[in-house]
Amino acid sequence: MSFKILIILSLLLLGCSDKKEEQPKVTNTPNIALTTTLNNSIAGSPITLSFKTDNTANVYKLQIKNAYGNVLLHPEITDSELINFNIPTNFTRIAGPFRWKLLLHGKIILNGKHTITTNAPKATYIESYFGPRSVTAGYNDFSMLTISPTDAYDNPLDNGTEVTVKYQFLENIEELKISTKNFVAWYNVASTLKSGRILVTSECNGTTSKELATIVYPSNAVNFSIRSSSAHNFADGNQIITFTSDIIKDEFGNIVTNGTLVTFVIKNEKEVYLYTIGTTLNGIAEAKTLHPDKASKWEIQAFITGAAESNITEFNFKPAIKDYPVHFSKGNRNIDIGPFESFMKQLIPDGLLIQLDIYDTNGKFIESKKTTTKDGVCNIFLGEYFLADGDYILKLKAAGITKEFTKNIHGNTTK
Amino acid sequence: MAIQLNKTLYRIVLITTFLAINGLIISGIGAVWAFMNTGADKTSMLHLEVPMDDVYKPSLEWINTENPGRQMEEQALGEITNDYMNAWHVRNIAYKKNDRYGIEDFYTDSARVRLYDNIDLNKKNKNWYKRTTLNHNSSLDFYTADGTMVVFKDYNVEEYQEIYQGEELILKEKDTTSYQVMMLLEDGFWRIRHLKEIPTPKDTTKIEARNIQGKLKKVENIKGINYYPKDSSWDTFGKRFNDSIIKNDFKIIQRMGLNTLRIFIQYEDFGKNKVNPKKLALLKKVLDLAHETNLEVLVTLFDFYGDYDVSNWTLTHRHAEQIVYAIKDHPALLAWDIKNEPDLDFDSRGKERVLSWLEQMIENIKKWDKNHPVTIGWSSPEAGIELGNNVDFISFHYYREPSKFTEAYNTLRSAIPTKPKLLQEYGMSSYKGLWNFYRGADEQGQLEYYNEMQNILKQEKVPYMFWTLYDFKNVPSSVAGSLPWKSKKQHFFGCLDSLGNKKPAFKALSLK
Repeated sequence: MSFKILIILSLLLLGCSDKKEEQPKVTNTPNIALTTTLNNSIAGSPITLSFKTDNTANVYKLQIKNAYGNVLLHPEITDSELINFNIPTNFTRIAGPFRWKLLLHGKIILNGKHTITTNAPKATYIESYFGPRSVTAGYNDFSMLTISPTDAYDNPLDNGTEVTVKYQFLENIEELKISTKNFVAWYNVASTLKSGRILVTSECNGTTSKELATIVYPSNAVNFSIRSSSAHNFADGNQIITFTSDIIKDEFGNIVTNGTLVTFVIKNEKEVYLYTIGTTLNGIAEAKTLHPDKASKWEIQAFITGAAESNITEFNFKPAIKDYPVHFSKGNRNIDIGPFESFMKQLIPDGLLIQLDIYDTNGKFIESKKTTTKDGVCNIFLGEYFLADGDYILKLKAAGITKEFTKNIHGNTTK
Repeated sequence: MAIQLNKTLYRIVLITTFLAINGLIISGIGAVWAFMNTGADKTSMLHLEVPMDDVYKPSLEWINTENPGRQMEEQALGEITNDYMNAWHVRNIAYKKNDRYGIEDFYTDSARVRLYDNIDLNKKNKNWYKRTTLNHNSSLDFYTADGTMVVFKDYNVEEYQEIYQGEELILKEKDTTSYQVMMLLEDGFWRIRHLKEIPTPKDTTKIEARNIQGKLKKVENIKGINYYPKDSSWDTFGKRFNDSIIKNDFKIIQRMGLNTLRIFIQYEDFGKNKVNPKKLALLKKVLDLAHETNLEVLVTLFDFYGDYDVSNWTLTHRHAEQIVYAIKDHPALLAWDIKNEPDLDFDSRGKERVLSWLEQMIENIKKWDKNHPVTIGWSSPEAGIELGNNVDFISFHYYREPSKFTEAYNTLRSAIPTKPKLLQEYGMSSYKGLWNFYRGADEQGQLEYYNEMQNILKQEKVPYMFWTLYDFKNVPSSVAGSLPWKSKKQHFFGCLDSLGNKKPAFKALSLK
């Protein structure tokens, strides 16, 4: 009975037993030798590694590795003594060495290296890069042409491969020979003094590349001159004055790029600055602004920020309004100013600023009133809550003309 | 009588069947529960980018950036380096999974087909590769004026790969290859255009010879202790770090007449591949304190690390590198212990995988620190023969009966006669209670154990480090699990109790 219990217990125990670690297989090193004698070939040609062995029944594997990765190959057995490994095309096409290891039961039996050379004679392809794609005219800037020729299977060609570089600018076509190093051949195409396009192309082993171009943009502008023009020179606050540059060029005589920003800075006789902006078109920048409303003397200078400046040109504005009438009424509390007449007796445009400064008889400033004209006239009313009855000095400024009155202001207009 | 026995038999059969069925049901429910809890994390929907730092970080040094083209900018060099590493990483992953994922980001049109061909072929043959690169030394050849093409050489790329067919490991290999690389800047990515193997130049740099004899002599005289502070067991450098407590402990150890202590650096706690400088400062502090008390320190790295997978080798390299460089010149440092009891991971991780990791880590640490010996803390004398040729001295742990120690030790000694052998951990818990059915040793038993052991060790002239100074109130569940009948014992291995009072064994372990 106890025997049965023992059986049951041992069965239970066995049911829980652990998986045993696998013991490595014992192998005898077989006789095997490489029969392929060539250890180099040209990219694209098929490669078969053959081994002579006394036992083709063994499970040989060939591990091959190149720069791009690994594969594990299985043999083809052709006869009783030879085993062959056909190297796949994705290995035979890649130039450079590949390493092989013949494996049997996880052990390296033999190993070796096979070198594949580039196959330029079959075909050459050119990849070329040109950049930067825009440069400025002058002696400093350049674009770099980098040519990376490859063989029929996309392997970079060996160092020292000759590459012909051609570049064209206007009537000039230059040609020179350079050679590859570190996968590439390169040449710095210097910028020209004239703006335009430089075209480059290259050739290697009879294959030509596509055409690449870089644009030579004009260099920085040099100092230029400006002039101003207007329909008349009266300070009427209505007419537009135009500032125009001459053709702005760089130091090599190239017209600056369209759209170059030109700032025209105006200084009047009171050292007050105004500015207006124009951009160039065919080298000429133009900017406009309104005439002042009183006689002024303008000095105008233009700048291309950080690059160039112009001469200073002057423009004198004559007064458009020679005089204006002033009429007092309602106990001198109501002041009608105008009509303002311009240089041809026409009414001035609306919006002329009029300022009235009020002083007491001792010359002490009391108050200022401002208004603008409409339809050539304007009106100022000094109400009794604003100004008590009495004598006042009234100074009126408009269109650069100041008039002074001493008036007795009186009367109640609210009644 | 027969009926009586039959009855007992039926009873046993019934009870076992009942227990077995119950067990099956519970494990079934457990399996369903576990299944329900697996699956993608919800955040994975966001496709958050994993920073490259955390998956692949071989050492890469630019030995030259001079070139006839454009002057290399730091920013561009960083981007090139990053994408070049990414290219290796996606390729390693692609060959592991035989999947094209990610290749197109880091290889140009014409380069990627070459990889695809290999992947397709390997997929067809059911081969796959676990690969990593460990070292790169790059030298710039050419950088175009517009900054969109770069050609460089990558010398002495240390590659490690494991070749699998199906589930079977066919071969492990490590080689050193040099490459020339052309990369193009496309769509904001630097992509590999050409990759060509070039001859590896003869290494003319003089390799500094190792100088470890002095330290090895010291190893042969170790009388030491495995150390954790009383209240921060398995967490020496944690929040409860207190240098005055550690200083006191070191004084106790010094007064006992011991000369060496073993401390543990946890992989995650120290910040994995980005080692936390604050932790390094604490480590240096501990070494300073040890130096003040004339103690030498055996530093155990990679505690609580258990992956060993090829894909994160480079991360562990960066971890070890930073720690080694931080303290390799410290006078208190005695030796490096790569890993505590790695043989316990043989079953769960695979022996080959663990040994490969250890092997290359030993190699690295020997390279980074020429002046300190390297060892591995094997869990038993039997495991001590593993990598016996690679370590500088052999460390093993022994928690079995003292009477069988000499035999086990002699077996190890005859297997590897030339190298010093350190009994790196041994000890006896003084726990005798409910959870071990009152079968363990009590404090007196512990004393007897040590009396016996110390005698043997003296006779055999074995350097030793016992486990440990204190009884611990807390033992993390990651050490011995959370089951009390397994972990309870762990609390009582000290020669001082958890209040700091001397247990009887203290006397036996004191040399003064």
